[in-house]
Amino acid sequence: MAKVVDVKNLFKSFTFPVKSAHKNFIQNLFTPDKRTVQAVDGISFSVEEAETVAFIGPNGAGKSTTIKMLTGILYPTSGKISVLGFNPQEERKQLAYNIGTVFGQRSQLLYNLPLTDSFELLSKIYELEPKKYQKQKNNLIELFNLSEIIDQPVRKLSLGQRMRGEIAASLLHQPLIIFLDEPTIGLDVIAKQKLRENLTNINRELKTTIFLTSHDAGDIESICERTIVINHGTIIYDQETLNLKKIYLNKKIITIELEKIIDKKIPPHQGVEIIKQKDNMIEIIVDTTQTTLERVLKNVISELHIVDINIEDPPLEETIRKMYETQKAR
Amino acid sequence: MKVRRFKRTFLKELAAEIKVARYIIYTNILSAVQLRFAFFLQAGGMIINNTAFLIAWLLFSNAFGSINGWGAQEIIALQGIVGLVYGICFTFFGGIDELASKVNNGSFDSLLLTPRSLYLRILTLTTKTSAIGDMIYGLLILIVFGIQTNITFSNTLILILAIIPACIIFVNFAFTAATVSFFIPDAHELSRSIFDILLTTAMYPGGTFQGIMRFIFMFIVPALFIGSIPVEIVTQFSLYNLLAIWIIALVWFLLARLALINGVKRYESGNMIGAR
Amino acid sequence: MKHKKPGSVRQHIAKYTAITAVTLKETLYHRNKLISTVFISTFRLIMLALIYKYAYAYLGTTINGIDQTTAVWSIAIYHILLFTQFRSIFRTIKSEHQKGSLEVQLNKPYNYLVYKCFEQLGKGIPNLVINLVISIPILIVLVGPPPALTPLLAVSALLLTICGTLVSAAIYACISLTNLWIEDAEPVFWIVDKAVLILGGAYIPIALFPPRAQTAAHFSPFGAPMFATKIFNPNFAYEWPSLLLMQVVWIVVFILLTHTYYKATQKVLAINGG
Repeated sequence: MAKVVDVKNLFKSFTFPVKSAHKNFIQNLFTPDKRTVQAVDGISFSVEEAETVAFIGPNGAGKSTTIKMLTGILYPTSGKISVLGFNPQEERKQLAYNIGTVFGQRSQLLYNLPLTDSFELLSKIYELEPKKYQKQKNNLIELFNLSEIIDQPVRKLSLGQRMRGEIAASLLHQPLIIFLDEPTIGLDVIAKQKLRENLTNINRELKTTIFLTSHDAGDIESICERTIVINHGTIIYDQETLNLKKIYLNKKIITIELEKIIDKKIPPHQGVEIIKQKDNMIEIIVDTTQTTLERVLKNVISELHIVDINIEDPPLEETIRKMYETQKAR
Repeated sequence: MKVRRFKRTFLKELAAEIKVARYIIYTNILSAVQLRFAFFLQAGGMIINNTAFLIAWLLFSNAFGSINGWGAQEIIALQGIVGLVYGICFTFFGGIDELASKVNNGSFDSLLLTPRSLYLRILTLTTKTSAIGDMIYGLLILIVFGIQTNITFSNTLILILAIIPACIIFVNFAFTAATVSFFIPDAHELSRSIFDILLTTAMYPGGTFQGIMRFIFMFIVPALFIGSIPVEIVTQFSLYNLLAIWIIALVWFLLARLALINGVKRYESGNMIGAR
Repeated sequence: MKHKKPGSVRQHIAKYTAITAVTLKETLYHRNKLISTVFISTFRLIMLALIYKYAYAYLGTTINGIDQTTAVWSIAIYHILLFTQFRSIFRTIKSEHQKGSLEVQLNKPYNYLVYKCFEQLGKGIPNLVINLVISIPILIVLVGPPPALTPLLAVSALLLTICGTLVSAAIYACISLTNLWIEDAEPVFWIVDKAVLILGGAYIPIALFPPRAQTAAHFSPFGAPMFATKIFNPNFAYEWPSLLLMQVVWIVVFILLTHTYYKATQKVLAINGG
């Protein structure tokens, strides 16, 4: 399989002036002290055609910086990047014809005009042949369920609808790889699920490589077969997502609201750790390697009178921090 | 894996870029006139706005009379040309107004992700609705000037030949000023100030600019080339001035391109701004 | 249930001066914007000074008894005092209305328009002070010191400045309410703002106007905010009481107008939801 992305010894540092307490105003203005931050600290990896890769890490880890170098936005300090055989910095325009990008908060759609006008504009920007463009547009409208909103101004769309539109727009020119930065941020559960299904379908049917960053473990689990974890500018994990789940994503946090305040302490159960019990609120962590969620929930429902229950994954930051500490310990 | 590669000659590439740019400008203007009532209000308001400056300088001319060949007619021509140049530039190339702030807040990224000439993509980002009013104002005033001075066909052609490079200078000066934000953080106010120097001075009667002042505002900040020199080319034709304006236009075009190429290399996106 | 009663006059004033203090601090914080605003204003003034210097030298004589120094200093007063004016509240109110934060403020225990004026004061004061400090020495170098003033004339100029500020506040507060009635009220702003520009003597001192235009500037509400620019005119010693009276008349007229307009606006917003 062809290599779609090939990164070797990539470094990126940012230098900026800082105010020094030892210097006066004029000195700070003209000869300030400089601080260098190593955002990406010598990473190497490659991605094959049709792979689905999650590129994750805590805030400030270097993932956005890496994606920006891969797409030609930033220049690396040193190292080699090849995306589809192009050098992103020297062949930015040629590369752009072949990649799709969806960067969460940054929209490429025309705000005041209907979605269809944005598509039309993009077809001109990407120099798409009219017949091919129409066919692809119709496919995407069907795939992303856009027929009811295609003629509405973008500003009138809900966030979920807009994100569907954004991703469809990024696929109009049938890119070989699509880079997504937090595509499901702010979406409700159903919208997220739909979006994940669409992305999986695109990968399966069109063999589009997917390179995704997200803080949502559900995105990673459902879309990506491979996960690369970056922290402090270095890669600390690069394996199948399933393994990540087995080793690290094996905890669930359950918050329970009881009908009445209970005086007695809840006895320990295997695989269950009680982290908080106050008044009528209980918070527990379930270790899914030692017990099943189903068993725990059955016990909770049978033993306690519950008013409300909330199940969530531990924050990804927590998981990565744990991963980092485990790596360090080794 | 079928990778799209475009191997085209320079002229064919240029033609493709212009084709896309034309379409984008068309879409921008369409978007601007969508809200019809608001559009007419903006355009009409701008005409009234600009007329005030015309009145102010006509009052000046009324008080001082003709200075170095600059009287009421010349002032009318000047306001018309500056209005038209401003209107053309911000109608078709309104993106120059947005470059500095986009670089400052990191949203410049999306421009780097499109497979188009960055220079043209920036210029054609948007249309300033009120600029259409400036364009109409400029044209109307120039028509008045033409009627009052019985302008000949050849002089009209000369006027057009002077306005085109004025537009090129205007756009590229503004563009270069905006690229300052690549090199100095939080500099979009500074960019704005540099541009304001050009625009403010462009509207002042050229007859009062002599000696060192004339030199500064021709060759350092090309404000006189935006309005006064085109007026002088039409009223007191000089081939030297006509050639000079085209050469200066080329110089500023090249400067803008150079500034962009170097600026993009320095671009740090949105990442580190928050860290400061 | 104990209802909160409206406070004393002192508390009311304290409320408004507090916002002035906050916006003053905020304006000083955004140094770049402050510098660029003052810079362009100073630049404009220098350019106008140089133009008038050249024009007078070319002409070789005075106009309507006004010489180069008087003309330049009159214009200088306009550009320096610009920062005591309230034109910016129009755009502030427009923006707040579009974002939806305006309607919320109408039900707070303060007068929204007065609040905006005090807010604008906080933005204008740093600009005014810096402009004064920078512009005056530069102008002295370029055209020489201003004509001498007696203490009485200086005080009357100060009174005209203060009343001019109030006229400006009243006019701009009034037209700012138009933002709540029509979708885009910018043209209204442009007309008024440019009328103030011309009739206030931004580009040419009023004393150099033709006679009819001078009369228009004298009796128009749009000339009133900047009557202080006439301070160096030969007739100022006789003129200033009538100028002051004109300003007081316009303050009263526009405050009454604004009050009526404001009440009507509140009613419309309550019914239509803005």
